[in-house]
Amino acid sequence: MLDVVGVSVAFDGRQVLDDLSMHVDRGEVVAVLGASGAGKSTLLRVIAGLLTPDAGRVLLEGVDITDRPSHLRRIGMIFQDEQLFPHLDVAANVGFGPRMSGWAAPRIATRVEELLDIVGLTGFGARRVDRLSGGEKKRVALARSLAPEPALLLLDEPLTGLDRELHDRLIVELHDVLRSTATTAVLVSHDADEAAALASRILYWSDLQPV
Amino acid sequence: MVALVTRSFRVAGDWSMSAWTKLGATEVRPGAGLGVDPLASIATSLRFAMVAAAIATVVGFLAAAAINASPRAGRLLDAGLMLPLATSAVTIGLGMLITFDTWPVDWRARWWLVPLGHALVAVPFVVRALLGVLRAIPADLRAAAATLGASPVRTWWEVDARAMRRPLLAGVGFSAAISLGEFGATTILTRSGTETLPIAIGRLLRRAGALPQAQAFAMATILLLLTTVLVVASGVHERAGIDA
Repeated sequence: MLDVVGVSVAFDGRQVLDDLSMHVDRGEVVAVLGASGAGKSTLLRVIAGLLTPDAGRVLLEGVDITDRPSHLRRIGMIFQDEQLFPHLDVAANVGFGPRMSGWAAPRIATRVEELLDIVGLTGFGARRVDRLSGGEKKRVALARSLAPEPALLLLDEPLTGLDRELHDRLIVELHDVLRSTATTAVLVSHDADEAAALASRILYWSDLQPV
Repeated sequence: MVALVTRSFRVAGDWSMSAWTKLGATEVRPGAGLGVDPLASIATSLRFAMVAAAIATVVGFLAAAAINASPRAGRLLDAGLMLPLATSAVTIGLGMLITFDTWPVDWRARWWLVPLGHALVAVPFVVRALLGVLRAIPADLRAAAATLGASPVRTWWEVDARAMRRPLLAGVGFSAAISLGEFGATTILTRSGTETLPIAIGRLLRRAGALPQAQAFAMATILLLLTTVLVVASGVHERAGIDA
């Protein structure tokens, strides 16, 4: 499904990713576990096409997508701080991806309703995103990233910044959503409990790069 | 402001509406011209304000987009566009007059030279308003749009242009307000028959007699009302609710 082959990235002379390789099978939820600042977010940005690696290749379903622009990759991403569009309401945020893909309005409306049901936000479509709680924003970000039916979903520390109780509750919900939608996903986290609860397989940062 | 309004109703020490009712007159007495047409100057000011706002908004929008897209080269453009803030409007008017006085750019008699001068004064304000918004957009917001399938052009339209919509409308209002009140550059650039409101106020104040003085205050009150409406309308829109 996803192959990252010998990817290297350096910033200002500092090697952030060094000959990193990994493989993810279809339907897997893989957690990449490593310390903060290790370069996990950089890895996700390379996979998403937001960053061009200095060396190495990224393959999706056997096709080399290293030079393919981000918007043509069909790889969704949930950012640490959600990055919801502040000028759009909840429904328009969730429907953004399908709209960019040229879906017809009725199909977008159906998809938005379906996803808001899945993430437990039924009836929230007309709400302003700046009036949502932290947990609700996370749910909207999840629904938005799943809406255009991405081939792969990337989650960059998706539950950061939540209080413990909400964090634990959302882990269960996120786990259920990823399983119920049969989403192939790569999650990066520094939290071993979070990784264990969400992932079907855990990759340790130190194992991804040759010593 | 209260003093201005009050003085517009005082003619030779008495309360009177005559300053307002005779705003349409262009003669002090039969055969003695006022030197300016007060009502026509209002129409001229409104026309110039619309043109100046359009120019300042378009130029400000393009400049802000260019400065934001290229931080290094944009710094020079940014500094250049801010120069009108650091200089007197009279200097700007004088500079335009001596620049556009020779063939093939002898444009001194062109009506649009005045609103162009107003726009030059207003552009820095539009740029500042837009740049503040553009620089506050997190880079990851654009990244989020890209991962959701938005091309670079679409990302710009959906994220940057949407964010700029409200400050842009506010910029239109402020540019128009600046144009309405602009006096320094207009003094140099204006031609007979195209006097603006502030120029008309100045001319009326220089006329002998109680009525022209009161008329100047009436005109100042109108100017005050127009600029207040524009500024309040810009602010109201800025505070308006979520975009559709």
